[in-house]
Amino acid sequence: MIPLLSVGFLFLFLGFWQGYIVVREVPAFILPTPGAVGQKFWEMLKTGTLLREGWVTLYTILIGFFTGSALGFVAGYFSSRSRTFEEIISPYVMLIQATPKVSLIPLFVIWFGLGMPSKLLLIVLSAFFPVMVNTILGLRSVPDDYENLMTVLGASERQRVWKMEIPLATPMIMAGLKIAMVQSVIGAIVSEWMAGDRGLGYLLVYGSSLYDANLLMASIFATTFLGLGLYWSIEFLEKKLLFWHESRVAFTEGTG
Amino acid sequence: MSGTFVVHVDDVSKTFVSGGKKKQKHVHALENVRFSVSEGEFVTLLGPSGCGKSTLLKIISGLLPPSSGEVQIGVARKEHQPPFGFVFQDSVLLPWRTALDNALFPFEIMGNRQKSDAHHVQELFRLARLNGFENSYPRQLSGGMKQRVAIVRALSYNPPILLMDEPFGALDAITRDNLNNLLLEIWESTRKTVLFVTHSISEAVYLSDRIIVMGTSPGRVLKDLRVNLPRPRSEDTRLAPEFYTLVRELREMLK
Repeated sequence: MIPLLSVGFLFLFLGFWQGYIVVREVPAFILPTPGAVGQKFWEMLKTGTLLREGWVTLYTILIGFFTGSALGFVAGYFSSRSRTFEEIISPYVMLIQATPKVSLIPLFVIWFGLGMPSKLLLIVLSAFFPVMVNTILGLRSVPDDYENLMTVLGASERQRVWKMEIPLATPMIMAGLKIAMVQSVIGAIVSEWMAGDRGLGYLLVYGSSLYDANLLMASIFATTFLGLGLYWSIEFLEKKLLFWHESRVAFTEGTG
Repeated sequence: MSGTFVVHVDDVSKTFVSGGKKKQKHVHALENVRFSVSEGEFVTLLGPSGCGKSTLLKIISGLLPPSSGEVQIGVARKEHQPPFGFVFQDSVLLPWRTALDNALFPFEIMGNRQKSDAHHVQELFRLARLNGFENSYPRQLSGGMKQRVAIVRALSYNPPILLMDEPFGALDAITRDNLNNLLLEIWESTRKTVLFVTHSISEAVYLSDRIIVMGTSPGRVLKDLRVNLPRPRSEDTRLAPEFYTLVRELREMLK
Protein backbone atom coordinates (compact mmCIF):
# COMPACT_ATOMS: atom_id res chain seq x y z
CA MET A 1 0.00 0.00 0.00
CA ILE A 2 2.72 2.47 0.96
CA PRO A 3 4.82 1.92 -2.22
CA LEU A 4 1.66 2.44 -4.25
CA LEU A 5 0.99 5.76 -2.50
CA SER A 6 4.61 6.74 -3.08
CA VAL A 7 4.28 6.18 -6.81
CA GLY A 8 0.95 8.02 -6.73
CA PHE A 9 2.73 10.97 -5.15
CA LEU A 10 5.22 11.02 -8.03
CA PHE A 11 2.40 11.20 -10.60
CA LEU A 12 0.72 13.93 -8.56
CA PHE A 13 3.98 15.91 -8.64
CA LEU A 14 4.41 15.42 -12.40
CA GLY A 15 0.76 16.42 -12.92
CA PHE A 16 1.24 19.68 -10.99
CA TRP A 17 4.42 20.39 -12.93
CA GLN A 18 2.64 19.90 -16.27
CA GLY A 19 -0.49 21.71 -15.08
CA TYR A 20 1.44 24.75 -13.83
CA ILE A 21 3.14 25.16 -17.22
CA VAL A 22 -0.17 24.90 -19.09
CA VAL A 23 -2.16 27.21 -16.81
CA ARG A 24 0.51 29.90 -16.29
CA GLU A 25 1.85 29.57 -19.85
CA VAL A 26 5.46 29.26 -18.65
CA PRO A 27 7.89 29.47 -21.58
CA ALA A 28 9.81 26.27 -22.26
CA PHE A 29 13.25 27.91 -21.85
CA ILE A 30 12.38 28.68 -18.22
CA LEU A 31 10.57 25.48 -17.25
CA PRO A 32 10.24 22.63 -19.76
CA THR A 33 7.50 20.02 -19.40
CA PRO A 34 8.28 16.72 -17.65
CA GLY A 35 7.83 14.97 -21.00
CA ALA A 36 10.39 17.20 -22.71
CA VAL A 37 12.91 16.70 -19.90
CA GLY A 38 12.37 12.94 -20.03
CA GLN A 39 12.85 12.98 -23.76
CA LYS A 40 16.05 15.00 -23.47
CA PHE A 41 17.32 12.62 -20.77
CA TRP A 42 16.63 9.62 -22.99
CA GLU A 43 18.27 11.31 -25.98
CA MET A 44 21.42 12.15 -23.96
CA LEU A 45 21.51 8.61 -22.70
CA LYS A 46 21.31 7.27 -26.28
CA THR A 47 24.01 9.53 -27.67
CA GLY A 48 26.22 8.55 -24.74
CA THR A 49 26.70 12.08 -23.44
CA LEU A 50 25.26 11.28 -20.01
CA LEU A 51 27.21 8.06 -19.62
CA ARG A 52 30.46 9.64 -20.79
CA GLU A 53 30.22 12.71 -18.58
CA GLY A 54 28.64 10.73 -15.75
CA TRP A 55 31.55 8.30 -15.84
CA VAL A 56 34.06 11.16 -15.55
CA THR A 57 32.22 12.45 -12.49
CA LEU A 58 31.82 8.97 -11.03
CA TYR A 59 35.45 7.94 -11.16
CA THR A 60 36.61 11.31 -9.89
CA ILE A 61 34.29 10.84 -6.92
CA LEU A 62 35.43 7.26 -6.35
CA ILE A 63 39.17 8.02 -6.45
CA GLY A 64 38.73 11.11 -4.25
CA PHE A 65 36.37 9.40 -1.83
CA PHE A 66 38.53 6.32 -1.31
CA THR A 67 41.74 8.33 -0.97
CA GLY A 68 40.14 10.83 1.41
CA SER A 69 38.42 8.17 3.52
CA ALA A 70 41.52 6.01 3.76
CA LEU A 71 43.65 8.98 4.82
CA GLY A 72 40.91 10.06 7.24
CA PHE A 73 40.78 6.61 8.77
CA VAL A 74 44.55 6.43 9.23
CA ALA A 75 44.71 9.96 10.65
CA GLY A 76 41.78 9.21 12.96
CA TYR A 77 43.37 6.00 14.13
CA PHE A 78 46.67 7.65 15.03
CA SER A 79 45.01 10.64 16.68
CA SER A 80 42.96 8.32 18.85
CA ARG A 81 46.18 6.66 20.08
CA SER A 82 47.44 9.86 21.68
CA ARG A 83 45.18 12.23 23.54
CA THR A 84 47.89 14.89 23.58
CA PHE A 85 48.25 14.77 19.80
CA GLU A 86 44.49 14.93 19.39
CA GLU A 87 44.26 17.95 21.68
CA ILE A 88 47.02 19.74 19.78
CA ILE A 89 45.44 19.28 16.36
CA SER A 90 41.75 19.47 17.30
CA PRO A 91 41.40 23.29 16.99
CA TYR A 92 42.89 23.15 13.50
CA VAL A 93 40.70 20.25 12.52
CA MET A 94 37.71 22.26 13.68
CA LEU A 95 38.93 25.29 11.74
CA ILE A 96 39.30 23.34 8.51
CA GLN A 97 36.00 21.59 9.11
CA ALA A 98 34.22 24.90 9.54
CA THR A 99 35.65 26.16 6.24
CA PRO A 100 33.25 25.34 3.41
CA LYS A 101 35.53 23.25 1.22
CA VAL A 102 34.09 24.66 -2.00
CA SER A 103 35.47 28.07 -1.08
CA LEU A 104 38.92 26.62 -1.70
CA ILE A 105 38.31 25.79 -5.36
CA PRO A 106 39.30 29.20 -6.76
CA LEU A 107 42.60 28.88 -4.91
CA PHE A 108 43.14 25.35 -6.22
CA VAL A 109 42.52 26.64 -9.74
CA ILE A 110 45.33 29.16 -9.31
CA TRP A 111 47.62 26.46 -7.96
CA PHE A 112 46.77 23.48 -10.11
CA GLY A 113 44.77 24.86 -13.02
CA LEU A 114 41.49 23.56 -14.38
CA GLY A 115 40.76 19.86 -14.42
CA MET A 116 41.43 16.74 -12.47
CA PRO A 117 43.98 17.74 -9.76
CA SER A 118 41.84 20.57 -8.40
CA LYS A 119 38.72 18.41 -8.45
CA LEU A 120 40.42 15.49 -6.73
CA LEU A 121 41.99 17.62 -4.03
CA LEU A 122 38.61 19.08 -3.12
CA ILE A 123 36.93 15.66 -2.92
CA VAL A 124 39.79 14.20 -0.87
CA LEU A 125 39.42 17.07 1.60
CA SER A 126 35.63 16.67 1.69
CA ALA A 127 35.87 12.95 2.51
CA PHE A 128 38.84 13.17 4.86
CA PHE A 129 37.38 15.08 7.80
CA PRO A 130 34.09 13.28 8.44
CA VAL A 131 35.87 9.93 8.36
CA MET A 132 38.70 11.13 10.60
CA VAL A 133 36.41 12.69 13.21
CA ASN A 134 34.12 9.67 13.34
CA THR A 135 37.03 7.22 13.51
CA ILE A 136 38.40 9.06 16.55
CA LEU A 137 34.94 9.12 18.13
CA GLY A 138 34.34 5.43 17.43
CA LEU A 139 37.69 4.27 18.74
CA ARG A 140 37.38 6.49 21.80
CA SER A 141 33.95 5.20 22.78
CA VAL A 142 35.01 1.58 23.23
CA PRO A 143 33.82 0.72 26.78
CA ASP A 144 36.55 0.21 29.39
CA ASP A 145 35.59 -3.36 30.17
CA TYR A 146 36.24 -4.42 26.56
CA GLU A 147 39.78 -3.10 27.00
CA ASN A 148 40.02 -4.84 30.37
CA LEU A 149 38.89 -8.12 28.83
CA MET A 150 41.64 -7.91 26.23
CA THR A 151 44.20 -7.08 28.93
CA VAL A 152 43.14 -10.04 31.06
CA LEU A 153 43.43 -12.32 28.02
CA GLY A 154 46.89 -10.92 27.30
CA ALA A 155 46.01 -9.61 23.84
CA SER A 156 48.69 -7.98 21.72
CA GLU A 157 48.27 -4.39 20.56
CA ARG A 158 47.44 -5.66 17.10
CA GLN A 159 44.77 -8.08 18.33
CA ARG A 160 43.29 -5.36 20.50
CA VAL A 161 42.94 -3.03 17.54
CA TRP A 162 41.78 -5.43 14.85
CA LYS A 163 39.71 -7.93 16.80
CA MET A 164 37.93 -5.48 19.03
CA GLU A 165 38.45 -1.72 18.70
CA ILE A 166 37.95 -1.30 14.97
CA PRO A 167 34.94 -3.66 14.74
CA LEU A 168 33.34 -1.89 17.70
CA ALA A 169 34.01 1.48 16.04
CA THR A 170 32.56 0.39 12.70
CA PRO A 171 29.05 1.85 13.26
CA MET A 172 30.63 5.27 13.84
CA ILE A 173 33.06 4.90 10.95
CA MET A 174 30.23 3.90 8.61
CA ALA A 175 28.29 7.00 9.65
CA GLY A 176 31.39 9.02 8.76
CA LEU A 177 31.67 7.30 5.38
CA LYS A 178 28.07 8.20 4.59
CA ILE A 179 28.67 11.87 5.29
CA ALA A 180 31.92 11.65 3.32
CA MET A 181 30.09 10.23 0.31
CA VAL A 182 27.47 12.98 0.31
CA GLN A 183 30.22 15.61 0.65
CA SER A 184 32.24 13.98 -2.13
CA VAL A 185 29.35 14.15 -4.58
CA ILE A 186 28.75 17.82 -3.73
CA GLY A 187 32.48 18.50 -4.00
CA ALA A 188 32.68 16.84 -7.40
CA ILE A 189 29.73 18.70 -8.92
CA VAL A 190 30.76 22.10 -7.58
CA SER A 191 34.37 21.70 -8.62
CA GLU A 192 33.25 20.75 -12.11
CA TRP A 193 31.29 24.00 -12.35
CA MET A 194 34.30 26.02 -11.48
CA ALA A 195 37.33 24.02 -12.46
CA GLY A 196 36.02 21.37 -14.78
CA ASP A 197 36.13 20.86 -18.49
CA ARG A 198 34.31 17.52 -18.24
CA GLY A 199 31.68 15.81 -16.11
CA LEU A 200 28.06 16.29 -15.06
CA GLY A 201 28.89 19.49 -13.20
CA TYR A 202 30.38 20.93 -16.37
CA LEU A 203 27.25 19.87 -18.27
CA LEU A 204 25.18 21.92 -15.82
CA VAL A 205 27.20 25.08 -16.45
CA TYR A 206 27.13 24.41 -20.16
CA GLY A 207 23.32 24.02 -20.13
CA SER A 208 22.98 27.20 -18.10
CA SER A 209 25.13 29.23 -20.50
CA LEU A 210 23.04 28.02 -23.46
CA TYR A 211 19.75 28.72 -21.65
CA ASP A 212 18.98 25.07 -22.42
CA ALA A 213 16.61 24.22 -19.60
CA ASN A 214 16.03 20.73 -21.01
CA LEU A 215 19.74 19.93 -20.90
CA LEU A 216 20.02 21.48 -17.44
CA MET A 217 17.19 19.53 -15.89
CA ALA A 218 18.19 16.27 -17.51
CA SER A 219 21.68 16.78 -16.06
CA ILE A 220 20.26 17.59 -12.63
CA PHE A 221 18.37 14.30 -12.67
CA ALA A 222 21.54 12.50 -13.75
CA THR A 223 23.42 13.89 -10.72
CA THR A 224 20.52 12.89 -8.48
CA PHE A 225 20.68 9.30 -9.72
CA LEU A 226 24.46 9.24 -9.37
CA GLY A 227 24.30 10.51 -5.78
CA LEU A 228 21.52 8.10 -4.89
CA GLY A 229 23.39 5.13 -6.36
CA LEU A 230 26.55 5.95 -4.45
CA TYR A 231 24.67 6.48 -1.20
CA TRP A 232 22.86 3.17 -1.62
CA SER A 233 26.17 1.39 -2.21
CA ILE A 234 27.41 2.66 1.15
CA GLU A 235 24.16 1.67 2.83
CA PHE A 236 24.44 -1.78 1.31
CA LEU A 237 27.98 -2.14 2.62
CA GLU A 238 26.81 -0.95 6.03
CA LYS A 239 24.01 -3.50 6.10
CA LYS A 240 26.47 -6.29 5.32
CA LEU A 241 29.09 -5.17 7.83
CA LEU A 242 26.78 -4.19 10.66
CA PHE A 243 24.31 -7.06 10.58
CA TRP A 244 24.88 -7.30 14.32
CA HIS A 245 24.24 -3.67 15.23
CA GLU A 246 21.17 -2.45 17.10
CA SER A 247 20.16 0.03 14.43
CA ARG A 248 19.81 -2.95 12.07
CA VAL A 249 18.21 -5.22 14.64
CA ALA A 250 15.36 -2.85 15.40
CA PHE A 251 14.68 -2.71 11.69
CA THR A 252 14.61 -6.46 11.02
CA GLU A 253 12.56 -7.15 14.13
CA GLY A 254 10.07 -4.51 13.16
CA THR A 255 9.44 -6.08 9.78
CA GLY A 256 9.61 -9.67 10.96
CA MET B 1 54.94 -18.31 50.35
CA SER B 2 53.32 -21.63 51.13
CA GLY B 3 51.15 -23.71 48.84
CA THR B 4 47.97 -23.31 50.83
CA PHE B 5 46.66 -20.09 49.35
CA VAL B 6 45.67 -19.34 45.79
CA VAL B 7 45.39 -15.59 46.18
CA HIS B 8 47.24 -13.67 48.85
CA VAL B 9 46.59 -9.95 49.16
CA ASP B 10 49.44 -8.55 51.20
CA ASP B 11 48.93 -5.10 52.71
CA VAL B 12 47.60 -3.56 49.52
CA SER B 13 46.86 0.16 49.39
CA LYS B 14 45.70 2.19 46.44
CA THR B 15 45.62 5.95 46.17
CA PHE B 16 44.18 7.77 43.19
CA VAL B 17 45.54 11.22 42.49
CA SER B 18 43.36 13.67 40.58
CA GLY B 19 43.42 17.37 39.75
CA GLY B 20 46.20 19.71 38.66
CA LYS B 21 49.61 20.43 40.15
CA LYS B 22 48.43 22.90 42.76
CA LYS B 23 45.16 21.35 43.87
CA GLN B 24 45.98 17.69 43.96
CA LYS B 25 43.34 15.46 45.47
CA HIS B 26 44.32 12.13 46.96
CA VAL B 27 41.60 9.53 47.18
CA HIS B 28 42.42 6.56 49.36
CA ALA B 29 40.55 3.84 47.55
CA LEU B 30 42.14 1.03 49.55
CA GLU B 31 44.15 1.04 52.75
CA ASN B 32 46.20 -1.87 54.08
CA VAL B 33 44.01 -4.63 52.74
CA ARG B 34 45.17 -8.14 53.55
CA PHE B 35 43.54 -11.54 53.22
CA SER B 36 44.14 -14.92 51.60
CA VAL B 37 41.94 -17.20 49.57
CA SER B 38 42.41 -20.98 49.66
CA GLU B 39 42.00 -23.29 46.76
CA GLY B 40 38.40 -24.02 45.79
CA GLU B 41 37.01 -21.37 48.12
CA PHE B 42 34.12 -19.10 47.19
CA VAL B 43 34.98 -15.71 48.63
CA THR B 44 32.88 -12.57 48.26
CA LEU B 45 33.99 -8.98 48.63
CA LEU B 46 30.95 -7.18 50.03
CA GLY B 47 30.56 -3.48 50.59
CA PRO B 48 28.77 -0.29 49.59
CA SER B 49 29.77 1.50 46.40
CA GLY B 50 32.99 3.42 46.86
CA CYS B 51 34.57 0.89 49.21
CA GLY B 52 37.11 -0.08 46.56
CA LYS B 53 35.96 -3.67 46.06
CA SER B 54 36.05 -3.44 42.28
CA THR B 55 39.40 -1.68 42.45
CA LEU B 56 40.68 -4.51 44.61
CA LEU B 57 39.54 -7.09 42.06
CA LYS B 58 41.31 -5.13 39.32
CA ILE B 59 44.50 -5.07 41.38
CA ILE B 60 44.29 -8.81 41.99
CA SER B 61 43.86 -9.47 38.27
CA GLY B 62 46.72 -7.17 37.38
CA LEU B 63 44.54 -4.64 35.56
CA LEU B 64 45.65 -1.98 38.04
CA PRO B 65 48.93 -1.72 39.95
CA PRO B 66 48.69 -1.27 43.73
CA SER B 67 50.21 1.91 45.23
CA SER B 68 51.85 -0.25 47.86
CA GLY B 69 51.77 -3.85 48.95
CA GLU B 70 51.50 -6.80 46.62
CA VAL B 71 49.28 -9.59 45.41
CA GLN B 72 50.65 -13.13 45.23
CA ILE B 73 49.04 -15.75 43.07
CA GLY B 74 49.75 -19.27 44.26
CA VAL B 75 48.90 -21.33 41.21
CA ALA B 76 51.02 -22.99 38.55
CA ARG B 77 51.01 -20.69 35.54
CA LYS B 78 50.53 -22.02 32.07
CA GLU B 79 52.31 -20.24 29.28
CA HIS B 80 50.26 -17.69 27.28
CA GLN B 81 47.38 -18.20 29.63
CA PRO B 82 46.14 -15.99 32.44
CA PRO B 83 45.40 -17.77 35.74
CA PHE B 84 42.08 -15.88 35.86
CA GLY B 85 38.80 -15.86 34.13
CA PHE B 86 37.13 -12.46 34.50
CA VAL B 87 33.40 -11.79 34.40
CA PHE B 88 32.43 -8.12 34.24
CA GLN B 89 29.23 -6.37 35.24
CA ASP B 90 28.32 -6.06 31.58
CA SER B 91 28.65 -9.24 29.52
CA VAL B 92 31.23 -7.58 27.20
CA LEU B 93 30.41 -9.99 24.38
CA LEU B 94 31.52 -9.21 20.84
CA PRO B 95 28.17 -8.56 19.12
CA TRP B 96 29.30 -9.77 15.68
CA ARG B 97 30.17 -13.22 17.00
CA THR B 98 27.84 -16.06 17.92
CA ALA B 99 27.67 -17.29 21.52
CA LEU B 100 30.00 -20.18 20.72
CA ASP B 101 32.51 -17.97 18.89
CA ASN B 102 32.45 -15.59 21.85
CA ALA B 103 33.21 -18.45 24.21
CA LEU B 104 36.10 -19.56 21.98
CA PHE B 105 37.44 -16.01 21.66
CA PRO B 106 40.11 -16.42 24.40
CA PHE B 107 41.74 -19.23 22.40
CA GLU B 108 41.91 -16.99 19.37
CA ILE B 109 43.76 -14.38 21.42
CA MET B 110 46.07 -16.84 23.19
CA GLY B 111 46.55 -18.98 20.12
CA ASN B 112 46.78 -22.28 21.93
CA ARG B 113 43.55 -24.09 21.28
CA GLN B 114 43.69 -27.85 21.77
CA LYS B 115 41.24 -30.38 20.40
CA SER B 116 39.88 -31.07 23.87
CA ASP B 117 39.05 -27.39 24.40
CA ALA B 118 36.11 -27.37 22.01
CA HIS B 119 34.68 -30.32 23.91
CA HIS B 120 35.21 -28.54 27.22
CA VAL B 121 33.41 -25.45 25.96
CA GLN B 122 30.55 -27.59 24.70
CA GLU B 123 30.32 -29.12 28.17
CA LEU B 124 30.23 -25.64 29.73
CA PHE B 125 27.39 -24.64 27.41
CA ARG B 126 25.44 -27.59 28.71
CA LEU B 127 26.29 -26.73 32.33
CA ALA B 128 25.13 -23.14 31.78
CA ARG B 129 21.95 -24.46 30.11
CA LEU B 130 22.89 -22.70 26.92
CA ASN B 131 22.87 -25.73 24.67
CA GLY B 132 20.91 -24.93 21.56
CA PHE B 133 22.03 -21.30 21.66
CA GLU B 134 25.58 -21.83 20.40
CA ASN B 135 24.85 -20.13 17.10
CA SER B 136 22.77 -17.25 18.47
CA TYR B 137 24.11 -13.73 18.34
CA PRO B 138 24.27 -11.69 21.58
CA ARG B 139 21.40 -9.44 20.45
CA GLN B 140 19.17 -12.54 20.28
CA LEU B 141 19.93 -13.45 23.91
CA SER B 142 18.42 -12.07 27.12
CA GLY B 143 20.56 -10.24 29.68
CA GLY B 144 20.84 -13.33 31.86
CA MET B 145 21.83 -15.55 28.94
CA LYS B 146 24.48 -13.09 27.82
CA GLN B 147 25.95 -13.15 31.30
CA ARG B 148 25.98 -16.95 31.20
CA VAL B 149 27.90 -16.83 27.91
CA ALA B 150 30.35 -14.46 29.63
CA ILE B 151 30.82 -17.01 32.43
CA VAL B 152 31.39 -19.79 29.90
CA ARG B 153 33.95 -17.62 28.11
CA ALA B 154 35.77 -16.91 31.38
CA LEU B 155 35.96 -20.63 32.15
CA SER B 156 36.67 -21.79 28.57
CA TYR B 157 40.45 -22.02 29.01
CA ASN B 158 40.04 -23.64 32.40
CA PRO B 159 41.71 -21.02 34.60
CA PRO B 160 42.05 -22.00 38.27
CA ILE B 161 40.62 -18.69 39.51
CA LEU B 162 37.36 -16.99 38.55
CA LEU B 163 37.04 -13.27 39.25
CA MET B 164 33.55 -11.79 39.09
CA ASP B 165 32.87 -8.06 39.33
CA GLU B 166 29.18 -7.57 40.22
CA PRO B 167 28.27 -9.97 37.41
CA PHE B 168 24.53 -9.99 38.14
CA GLY B 169 24.22 -6.36 39.25
CA ALA B 170 22.38 -5.26 36.11
CA LEU B 171 19.84 -8.10 36.13
CA ASP B 172 16.36 -8.24 37.62
CA ALA B 173 15.90 -9.98 40.99
CA ILE B 174 14.35 -13.16 39.60
CA THR B 175 17.00 -13.70 36.94
CA ARG B 176 19.61 -12.90 39.55
CA ASP B 177 18.39 -15.62 41.92
CA ASN B 178 18.32 -18.15 39.10
CA LEU B 179 21.83 -17.24 38.03
CA ASN B 180 23.04 -17.52 41.64
CA ASN B 181 21.84 -21.14 41.65
CA LEU B 182 23.36 -21.81 38.26
CA LEU B 183 26.67 -20.29 39.32
CA LEU B 184 26.77 -22.56 42.38
CA GLU B 185 26.08 -25.59 40.17
CA ILE B 186 28.90 -24.62 37.83
CA TRP B 187 31.19 -23.93 40.78
CA GLU B 188 30.39 -27.29 42.38
CA SER B 189 31.21 -29.19 39.21
CA THR B 190 34.31 -27.19 38.22
CA ARG B 191 35.66 -26.40 41.72
CA LYS B 192 37.26 -23.11 40.80
CA THR B 193 38.49 -20.63 43.33
CA VAL B 194 35.99 -17.77 43.05
CA LEU B 195 36.40 -14.14 44.07
CA PHE B 196 33.04 -12.47 43.75
CA VAL B 197 32.25 -8.77 44.15
CA THR B 198 28.75 -7.61 45.09
CA HIS B 199 26.86 -5.03 47.14
CA SER B 200 23.95 -7.38 47.75
CA ILE B 201 24.08 -8.82 51.26
CA SER B 202 21.76 -11.77 50.58
CA GLU B 203 23.63 -12.69 47.39
CA ALA B 204 26.90 -12.68 49.33
CA VAL B 205 25.52 -14.89 52.11
CA TYR B 206 23.84 -17.29 49.71
CA LEU B 207 26.90 -17.88 47.54
CA SER B 208 29.96 -17.66 49.74
CA ASP B 209 32.20 -19.70 51.98
CA ARG B 210 33.65 -16.47 53.29
CA ILE B 211 32.63 -12.84 53.09
CA ILE B 212 35.15 -10.06 53.26
CA VAL B 213 33.17 -7.05 54.44
CA MET B 214 34.56 -3.73 53.30
CA GLY B 215 33.94 -0.16 54.44
CA THR B 216 34.40 3.21 52.78
CA SER B 217 36.78 6.17 52.99
CA PRO B 218 39.29 4.78 53.09
CA GLY B 219 38.34 1.44 51.51
CA ARG B 220 39.33 -1.22 54.02
CA VAL B 221 38.44 -4.63 55.38
CA LEU B 222 35.94 -4.43 58.24
CA LYS B 223 35.55 -8.11 58.83
CA ASP B 224 36.45 -11.51 57.42
CA LEU B 225 33.38 -13.62 58.02
CA ARG B 226 32.94 -17.36 57.54
CA VAL B 227 29.56 -18.55 56.24
CA ASN B 228 28.75 -21.93 57.74
CA LEU B 229 25.55 -22.68 55.89
CA PRO B 230 25.45 -26.26 54.56
CA ARG B 231 26.10 -27.03 50.90
CA PRO B 232 24.74 -27.63 48.38
CA ARG B 233 22.63 -24.56 48.91
CA SER B 234 19.10 -24.28 47.62
CA GLU B 235 15.96 -22.21 48.01
CA ASP B 236 15.65 -23.74 51.52
CA THR B 237 18.92 -22.04 52.44
CA ARG B 238 17.30 -18.65 51.88
CA LEU B 239 14.57 -19.58 54.38
CA ALA B 240 16.88 -20.90 57.09
CA PRO B 241 17.12 -18.87 60.33
CA GLU B 242 20.94 -18.96 60.15
CA PHE B 243 20.69 -17.21 56.78
CA TYR B 244 18.65 -14.40 58.33
CA THR B 245 20.94 -14.09 61.32
CA LEU B 246 23.90 -13.57 59.01
CA VAL B 247 22.06 -11.13 56.76
CA ARG B 248 20.99 -9.10 59.80
CA GLU B 249 24.49 -9.12 61.24
CA LEU B 250 25.96 -7.88 57.97
CA ARG B 251 23.30 -5.22 57.59
CA GLU B 252 24.18 -3.87 61.05
CA MET B 253 27.85 -3.88 60.15
CA LEU B 254 27.32 -1.94 56.92
CA LYS B 255 25.01 0.71 58.40
